[in-house]
Amino acid sequence: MDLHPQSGKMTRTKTRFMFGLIFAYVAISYMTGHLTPRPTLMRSLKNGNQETQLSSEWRSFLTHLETIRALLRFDEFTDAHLKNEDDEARRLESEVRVLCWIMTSPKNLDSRATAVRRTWARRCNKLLFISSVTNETFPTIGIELPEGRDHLTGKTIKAFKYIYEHHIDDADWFMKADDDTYVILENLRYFLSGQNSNEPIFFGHHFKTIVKQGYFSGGAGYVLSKEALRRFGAKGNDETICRQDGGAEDAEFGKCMETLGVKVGNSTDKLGRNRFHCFDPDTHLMGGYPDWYYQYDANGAKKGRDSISDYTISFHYVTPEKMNALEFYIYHLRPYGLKSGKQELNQDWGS
Amino acid sequence: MQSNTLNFVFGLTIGLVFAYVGISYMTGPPTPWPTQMRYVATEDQETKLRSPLRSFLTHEDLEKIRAIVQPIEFMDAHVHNDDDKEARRLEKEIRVLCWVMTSPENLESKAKHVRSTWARRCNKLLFISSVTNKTFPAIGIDVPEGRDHLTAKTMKAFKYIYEHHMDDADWFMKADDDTYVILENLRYFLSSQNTNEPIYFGHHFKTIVKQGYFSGGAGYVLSKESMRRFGAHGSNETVCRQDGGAEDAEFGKCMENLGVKVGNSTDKLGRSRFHCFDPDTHLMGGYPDWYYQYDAHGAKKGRESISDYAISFHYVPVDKMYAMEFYIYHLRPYGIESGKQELNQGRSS
Repeated sequence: MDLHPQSGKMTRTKTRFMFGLIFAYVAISYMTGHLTPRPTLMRSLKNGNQETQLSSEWRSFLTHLETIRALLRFDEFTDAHLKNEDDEARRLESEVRVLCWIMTSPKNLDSRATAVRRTWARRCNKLLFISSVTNETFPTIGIELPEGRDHLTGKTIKAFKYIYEHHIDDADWFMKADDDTYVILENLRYFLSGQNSNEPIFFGHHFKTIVKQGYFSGGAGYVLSKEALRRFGAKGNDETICRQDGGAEDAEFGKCMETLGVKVGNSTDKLGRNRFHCFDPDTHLMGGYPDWYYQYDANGAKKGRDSISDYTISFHYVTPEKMNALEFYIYHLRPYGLKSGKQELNQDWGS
Repeated sequence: MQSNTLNFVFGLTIGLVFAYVGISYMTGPPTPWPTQMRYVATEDQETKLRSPLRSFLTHEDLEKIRAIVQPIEFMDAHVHNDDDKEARRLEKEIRVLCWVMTSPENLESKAKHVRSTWARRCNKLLFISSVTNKTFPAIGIDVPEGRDHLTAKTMKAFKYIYEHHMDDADWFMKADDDTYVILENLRYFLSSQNTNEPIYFGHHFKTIVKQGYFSGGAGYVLSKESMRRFGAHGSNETVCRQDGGAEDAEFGKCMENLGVKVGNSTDKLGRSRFHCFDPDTHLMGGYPDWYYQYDAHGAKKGRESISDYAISFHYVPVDKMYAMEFYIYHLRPYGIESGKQELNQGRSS
């Protein structure tokens, strides 16, 4: 049988044509996201592979490790969260290291500082409690200054100095909080993952008064970049640059930062909502603000659910009971069947 | 050689065209950015309402309609990227009728906010009061207000629902206007139960009634079979007290007489799902003395005693309802995807 030369050529042509067609379709689908590998499937595949690779000895060792870790965590109820997928949160935990220092006092150790440590602060990469008196058991670091509102500035200045001298390599970002501040570390890291720690910048709840560029509420907590801490470490003890004591701690620290060339950063989310909050959740939800707040808040003193970011970072004036309740609401209570997705709420880098 | 490449390119071009057309058709027009969408939606609703109904509705009517149709719903729902397939599936499969016991003076102050928050997730929602209110709307049961007639209100309400709404749902829940219910978790629990069984669920009190009864404020939910039995014999004074006494206890006796069993709604880890106090009380344990004699599960307290898939809380004031909406449906820790937990026990004992 004689292969018709023409038909052979036609088949090759058609094949090439179909090939081009299919290639184009697949390429477009992939680029528009209709053909991406399903994330959950991939993750389970990954886990499956990892499991079979572990030998039985390793597995028992790791189980013991888990038991020990569970015992070490205060009030850690080992309920059935095993199905939680927190890979992303864990990834950010190792990538965006946060040192938290909590401003407290001897009389607040048993109630407030304990609540802080037992709830949100255990999620910090490094945690320090700074008081006027050293307490080896708790433990707290004693800054040699009397307690009281008149020395909060001094406490803050000395605390940051201490951290600069001893802990600057322990983290990428350095957060100050009070013992009645509640911080959601996962959301702090998410926000900071879009920022550069080598920039002279710091973030918090922005007040537009007193300091030219504004400053951040002390109670809502504020977080410094590494560069900001370096500049503070280099020149922060100069009285002409930074007031060493007296005045309102957050305003004085704000002036200090401005003088050092550290910028006030914008931490509102893509929908213009605040992430740091100088009052407790109910106040922001219902809007029972004191009069001064309307002159201070740099973002319009908004209220209600629409003004608070889903990835909120902090609240202030949170009692120990409320901290316990927030742990319940944020990390435990769930609506069944609603898998909370990942929202893209960060603004573009460096705004 | 060249003609082959030419054919490939030709095929590629046609393929690209097909892909573009096909995918555009499948994905539809691009969605506008959230804040814009919010305003656009408002405008559309305004113009839509004005044109055809201009002659029928006054400006006040429009305001009222807008108030009902646009509760405090911030348009960030689609920014959430939530996967709610499972919740939506359960919504269709397990139809819940919620009836909220309220009163004329509580319509604006409480019932309105119940409707704006959790109750809009019910498959069917009825507000039952002593006076009919067509605008709200609320159904008027011909019973005077006050604690002495709560039993009658309940009896008549269930009777009304039996007569008019039996086919609208698979389960029938009673709640107060200061109860907060998480519908997704209610449906999840009920998905493990059989509505053709004579059974009902709520926060179990072990006193007064032999098999115990359920707290009225925490809300309780009846199976279809329970409703049938109530509908058939519930108006018989010898079977069910028609008025007076404590509403929940009397209703509990009624259920027992009808052979409706008290069901167990604790989760796999023994934690409660229906709660007769507000969250803070259960978390901190500031219980009144009587609770220790009443609660059928040891009057536990603290976070470990409350199920992650908790269903209800009581004594929730209005601002707390909005706070709960925020905590449950909005505030999230980034990077922790809440997975599906298997918290249901086997068939209820």
